[in-house]
Amino acid sequence: MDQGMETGAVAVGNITQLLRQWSEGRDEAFRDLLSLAYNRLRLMASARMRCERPDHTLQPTALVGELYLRLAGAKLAGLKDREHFYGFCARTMRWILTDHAKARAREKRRIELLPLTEDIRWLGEREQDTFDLDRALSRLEEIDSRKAKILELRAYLSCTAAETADILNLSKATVDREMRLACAWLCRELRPEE
Amino acid sequence: MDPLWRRVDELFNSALQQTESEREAWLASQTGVDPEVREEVYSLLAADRRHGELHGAAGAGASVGSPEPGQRFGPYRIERLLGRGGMGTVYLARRADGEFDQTVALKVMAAHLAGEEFVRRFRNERQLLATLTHPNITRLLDGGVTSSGDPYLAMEYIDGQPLDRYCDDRRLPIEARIRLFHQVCEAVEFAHRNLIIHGDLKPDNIIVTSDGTVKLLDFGTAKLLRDPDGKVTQFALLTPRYASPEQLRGELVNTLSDIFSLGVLLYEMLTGAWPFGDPKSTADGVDRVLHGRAAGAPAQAVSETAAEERSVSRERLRRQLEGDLSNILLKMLDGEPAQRYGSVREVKEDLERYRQGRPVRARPHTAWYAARKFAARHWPAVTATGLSVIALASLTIVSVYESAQARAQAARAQRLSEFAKNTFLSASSYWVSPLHGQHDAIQFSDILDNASDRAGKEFGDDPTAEADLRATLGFTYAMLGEPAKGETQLLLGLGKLPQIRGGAPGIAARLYLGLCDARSFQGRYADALAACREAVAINRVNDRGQLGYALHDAAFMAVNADEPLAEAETMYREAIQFLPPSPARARISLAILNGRLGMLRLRQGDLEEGQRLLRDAEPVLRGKGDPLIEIVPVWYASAFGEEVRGRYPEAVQLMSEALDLVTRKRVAFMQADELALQLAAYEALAGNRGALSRLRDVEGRLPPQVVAPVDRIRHHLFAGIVEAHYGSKVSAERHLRSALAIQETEMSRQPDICVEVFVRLMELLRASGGEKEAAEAARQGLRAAALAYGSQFAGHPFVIEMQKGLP
Repeated sequence: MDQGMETGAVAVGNITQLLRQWSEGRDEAFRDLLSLAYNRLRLMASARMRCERPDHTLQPTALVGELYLRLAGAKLAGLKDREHFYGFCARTMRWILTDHAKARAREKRRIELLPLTEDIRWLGEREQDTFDLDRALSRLEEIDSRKAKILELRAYLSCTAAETADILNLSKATVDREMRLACAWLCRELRPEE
Repeated sequence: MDPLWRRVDELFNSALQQTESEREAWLASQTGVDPEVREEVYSLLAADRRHGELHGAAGAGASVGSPEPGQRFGPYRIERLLGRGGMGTVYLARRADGEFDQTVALKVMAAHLAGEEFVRRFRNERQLLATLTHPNITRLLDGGVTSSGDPYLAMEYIDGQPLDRYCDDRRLPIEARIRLFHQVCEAVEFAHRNLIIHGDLKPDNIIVTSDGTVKLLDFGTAKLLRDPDGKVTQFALLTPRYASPEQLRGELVNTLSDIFSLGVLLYEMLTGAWPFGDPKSTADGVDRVLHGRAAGAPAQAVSETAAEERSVSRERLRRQLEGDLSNILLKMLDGEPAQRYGSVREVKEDLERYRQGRPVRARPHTAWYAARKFAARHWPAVTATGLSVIALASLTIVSVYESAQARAQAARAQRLSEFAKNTFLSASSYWVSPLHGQHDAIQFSDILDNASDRAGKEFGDDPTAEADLRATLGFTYAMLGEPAKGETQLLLGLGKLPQIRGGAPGIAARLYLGLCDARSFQGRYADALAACREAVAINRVNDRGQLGYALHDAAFMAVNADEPLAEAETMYREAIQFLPPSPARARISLAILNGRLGMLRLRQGDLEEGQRLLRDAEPVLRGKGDPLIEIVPVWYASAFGEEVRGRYPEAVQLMSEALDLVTRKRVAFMQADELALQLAAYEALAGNRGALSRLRDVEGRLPPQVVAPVDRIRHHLFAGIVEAHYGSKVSAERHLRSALAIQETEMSRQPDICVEVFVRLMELLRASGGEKEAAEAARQGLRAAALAYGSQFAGHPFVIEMQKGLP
């Protein structure tokens, strides 16, 4: 909390360059890359905490720790640019949260860790949401991969519209437009009219 | 993109250009629209509206603004902001109801955390904290929930400086710092005695007043060891810099976590540096999480500035920090909770000994990692999640690299590490490919497959390197639940040995031990035993340091492979001659071996000696904090001992603990379901109705796909016991008779197994009125018991039980 946090924009600017340096054999670049990711992830993890109930088991730091391990393991090579990089982060977050929810469900314990996005405040109000979001995203990927990508970045990495646009190299207006339909679609999947 | 969907997208967005009330009419007016597309857009527009409603509704309750100066919380009026933390915001406030004139620190819990459950816990906690009256702990004065639902705590307001600034501003020498730290310990010890863990100890939470009194703050975020239901409660946000490794892993914490945090605190107070490198460097943080980096030597950490701030020269400070102080710090900071001090009181006592120049209890420990490996071998803490997969991946690289380097062949080491790196590089496409869009996309086996394919090609000219690599690949496969593939790799590796001059005995032993694991995970214990015997033979000549655990593995396989128990016993006893060099680790290894021997004695009918061995082993493996996972076999052996004596509730208790530990630690190898089966059987014997649903639960979740006779017998026996009590008698008899059939044909050298089955069968038959059949079972059981128990036959509870069943 006392550490300064990188803003998303700074991180985004450096990632492509760092990825290139790393693939060219400069190993330190990988560490820098993780540093950038870390601050972003911490921010995200603590944001996620906001909608958590008090008896959570996956602490934000553990969340970040687990992401670390996965990121470090993946080595991020072949992630050509920031789009890949953030896509990977979002995907990893999605696995972690869904796995965690599954494990909790298996243990018949309450699932309390929820994806968070300011765009979809109702998301996470029901226990099933963590699984359902994951499944819905898989379906959306088949129909419209760009919307799925946007939704994934926003729901799991809490990216703003501007950041999402920047990462995916789209205009903010496009992201907004895509997001609107994606939200409607998601709402129909997860909250069908009774 | 599907053209129809593209059309849906277009129409949806065009419709949104219309005012809300006109959208549907607008859509209806569009011509040339496929009816299916029109339906879809209608439905999405409705969903869009619904999303808007839900979104708005959810937002309304959540957005509580932050309190302003002048705002009241109960009888308190806010004066100014003091700080913000994870759990809420702290304000300076005054009592405003005229009762007392009192300045307080008012902690307002973050509104989003407030919920019914939270408020209930908050009340419980408040009661507990109110009893925490200690001169070094800020007092909780009051607390409540405002009419708008925000919980708040009013704490004694302390005017002072955070601990680190207080020390540095006054350039306190280390003796004075230790005295202040002593006060911190007093407070934490007091809290621990009251079953409260602080969980977030850091300089910001420790204030020193101008008269030098230490006050601990922020017990508002403390963890209670237990809430009234006996459940562990935790809801603190931690500060990574001071958090223990177990906290960072998100595990349940106990008082030993606070000891770690105190260690970081004292380290910083004394050296001016963070024990794990640069606290601002994420890379160092990564190292701590990823590689369990150990704390650095305190004397090496001091800078000129730090020495100045401690009013001594750098040289002198270094000397002060060597030896005893260093040992004390490193003991507090041990990554393994069980290796830390057991209580804050012990820390205090050791510091006191240091102050008086008496010998301290903390000792440096050496080479514990190698020894730990011995202890951990049969129960590797491989968790079922991808996390461990990745950890294993890094281990693979490290082990490939290190074992190569140990032979001082720099070129080969370089090549192997390049290989490992490339393996992960080339695999990266798997991580992002949309084809692998599901979460099972982390297909570690893909990476291994790829590496296996390339291993032969790239190392064809270097059989040593190839064999080494195959050993690692094979072991990793086996650990990741693909033992058959692992076996293939290990056999390929063994095939390379004839081409290696001198035969590379170290690699050969690794290959055979890996092969043993790979085969045992497939339930092929006899084949596993054969491989393990090779490893034993090699280590006997080549590396006696590794002989201990090869023997342990061989004995374990022998038991499961229907070798006579006496043979396994001989091997366990020989393993005791080859314990690891470090005394602490030797104790653990000895306890593991004694636990195994204890089980064998029980099975051979010698209950006294068996239980004595288990009793000796238990406390060592239980340790001070969290028990080692290796305690599980000891617990289930002890549970078996209790069962034999008819003390079923005790057996249930032990098995519950074992199951709990395995579930909590998520050890992939220890089959929680197997333990659950055994627990279900004991529950049934103890008269607990829950046994049947536990059995059904296990059977439903995991259709038992066990191949090894020993595992099939266990399943039939335990299922038979539960069915006999609460399920179907017919099914019970079928299970028990199946167990007997398997024993007779496939486990004939271990007759003790069928003794227990006959006892249960006899009980079942007697209960259902089949006196004659029951007597027959008793007769057969007694025959087996005579074989199995030898001199221990007379007086054995099972024997007595069966004698009662004779006419």
